[in-house]
Amino acid sequence: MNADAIYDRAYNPRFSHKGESCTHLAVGANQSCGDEVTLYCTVDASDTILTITHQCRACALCSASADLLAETLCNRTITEIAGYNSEELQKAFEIPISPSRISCVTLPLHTLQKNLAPRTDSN
Amino acid sequence: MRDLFPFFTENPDLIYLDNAATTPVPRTVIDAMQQALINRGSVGRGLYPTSIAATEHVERIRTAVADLLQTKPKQVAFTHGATHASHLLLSALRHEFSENTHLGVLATDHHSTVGPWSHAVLSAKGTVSLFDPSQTYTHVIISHGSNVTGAVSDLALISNQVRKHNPDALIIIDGSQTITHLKIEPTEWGIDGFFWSAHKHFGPNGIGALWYSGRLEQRLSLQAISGGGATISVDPQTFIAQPSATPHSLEAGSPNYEALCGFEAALQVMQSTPQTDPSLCRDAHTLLGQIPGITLISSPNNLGIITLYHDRIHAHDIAEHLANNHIAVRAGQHCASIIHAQANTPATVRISIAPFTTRAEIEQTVATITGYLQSLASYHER
Repeated sequence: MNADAIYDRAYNPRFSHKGESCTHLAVGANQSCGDEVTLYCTVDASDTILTITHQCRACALCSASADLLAETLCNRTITEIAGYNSEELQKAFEIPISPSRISCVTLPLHTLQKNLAPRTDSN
Repeated sequence: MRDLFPFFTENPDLIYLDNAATTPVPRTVIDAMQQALINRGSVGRGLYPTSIAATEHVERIRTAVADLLQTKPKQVAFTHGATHASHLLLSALRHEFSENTHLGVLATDHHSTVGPWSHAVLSAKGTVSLFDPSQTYTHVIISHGSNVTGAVSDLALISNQVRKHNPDALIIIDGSQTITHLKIEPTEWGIDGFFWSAHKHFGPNGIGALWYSGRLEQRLSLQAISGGGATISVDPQTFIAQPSATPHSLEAGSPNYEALCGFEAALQVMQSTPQTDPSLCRDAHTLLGQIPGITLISSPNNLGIITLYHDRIHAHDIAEHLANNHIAVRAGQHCASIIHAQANTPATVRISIAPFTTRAEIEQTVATITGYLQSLASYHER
C-alpha cells in the first residue's frame, strides 16, 4: 500500500463494523499513543477464521493495518496467525515507517495473536 | 535569543514546538558541563583542590536553587529529575500508608506521580480520589501546571482547603511545567514538597531539585531512604544503617557534578531571558482553535501549551505530517490518560511554545495542519 492506499483504507475501511455474531473478540490498545482496536472474528470448529471485522479509534497506519488484516487473514487457522510475522505485515506498507510508529502497524496483528488461542481437547 | 542555542544552528529548518517535553540547551550550559568534566573532582569525598572546589560548588548551586525558591539550602535536595523526586518521596513515605490514607490527585496529573502513588496507597487499602476541596486528605500530590491543558493550580488556595480539614496533610507538587513560567513560592503557598527537572528549563537531562518543608523534612529524616558512601553509615557490630542528615541523605551515590553545573547555568539562562510572550500564547491558542474540525482541550494559558485533537484524524497522523514538514510537536496522551479519558479522545497533539518561538512559526504550523486536513478531506468524501 502506498500513502494514498493507506489513507483510503483508513478512512474508507472495507471491514469496519461490529461483528454481532462473532465467536472471538480481541481488544487492544497502545496506551502511550492512544490507538484502540477491537477485532471481531468468526472461527469455525477447525480453528479456521471465517470473518474478521474491526472497529478502530486509531491513526491511519493502525486503522489501515486492521482493515488489511481483516481481508488477508481470512481462511487462515489460528495456528497460522500465531506464526504470522509482523515484518511481513510491515512490508505491505510501502512508505517509510519510523521506529515509534511500528507499533501502530503491528497493534491489530498482536491483538489478534494475543487473544486468539487454538482450541484444545478440553475446549 | 535563538543565538544562545547551538540546537538551532544544527537544525536550522526545524520549528521546535515541544518545549513542554524538553527544551533545547544553550551554549552556556554545554560549556559549564564541559568545564565540570575537565575539572572533575570527587564531590564531598576528597581532600585535594579539584574535589574541594567541586564540593563547594555543589553547595553554591544548592544555595542558588534555594534563593530561587526563597528558602534555605538545607531544604533543597538534588535528584535525577521530577520522576525520581516523586519516587524518592514515595519510598520515604509509603510506610505511613494504611486504610486511613486518602490521596488526592488531579485528572490532569502525570503518570509519573499519580501512577506509583495511587498504586502504593491502594496497596495499603487506602483511598485515591480526584481532589475535592470538601474532602479530607492525608496526602495530596498534584501538578502545579498541567502538561496537557496548561491549567495552573492555585496552590495557596488548595493548601488552605486541605489544611482546613487536616492540618497535617502533606501537599506535594510537581512543578515541571511551571518552573520556567511562574514565580515559585513554596513557603508562601504552605505546601510541603516541590520538585522539577532541569531539562524543562534549558538544562541537561538527569538532574532536578526537590524542595521540602520542615514538616516533610522531619518525616524524611526518620527514614534511611537511600544509601551511599556519604549518605549513610553502617554500625560495624550491629550492621544497623544510619542515614546522614538531609539533604545529603537524599542524594545517594556520587553526585552528577557535570549535570549540576549545567543545571546552574540553565537557572541563570532561565532567570535572565524573557518569559514566553503571553500574547503569542493567547494568539496561538486562538489560531489553532479556529482550524476546522479541531477541538482544544487546553484553555488559554501562559505556560505556552496548546493541546488539540481532530474529530476524525488521529493525533499521530497530524504530528507525523508536521514532523515531515520540520515542525516538532508531541502527540499521544502525554503521560496523562485520565484527562484524555475525560475528554473522550484517545490522543491529542500538543504544541508547546517557548521564549524563542516566533509568530511566523505559529502561523506556519497552523497553515501546515490546515493544509493536511484539507488534503485528507477527499478521502472522507469517497
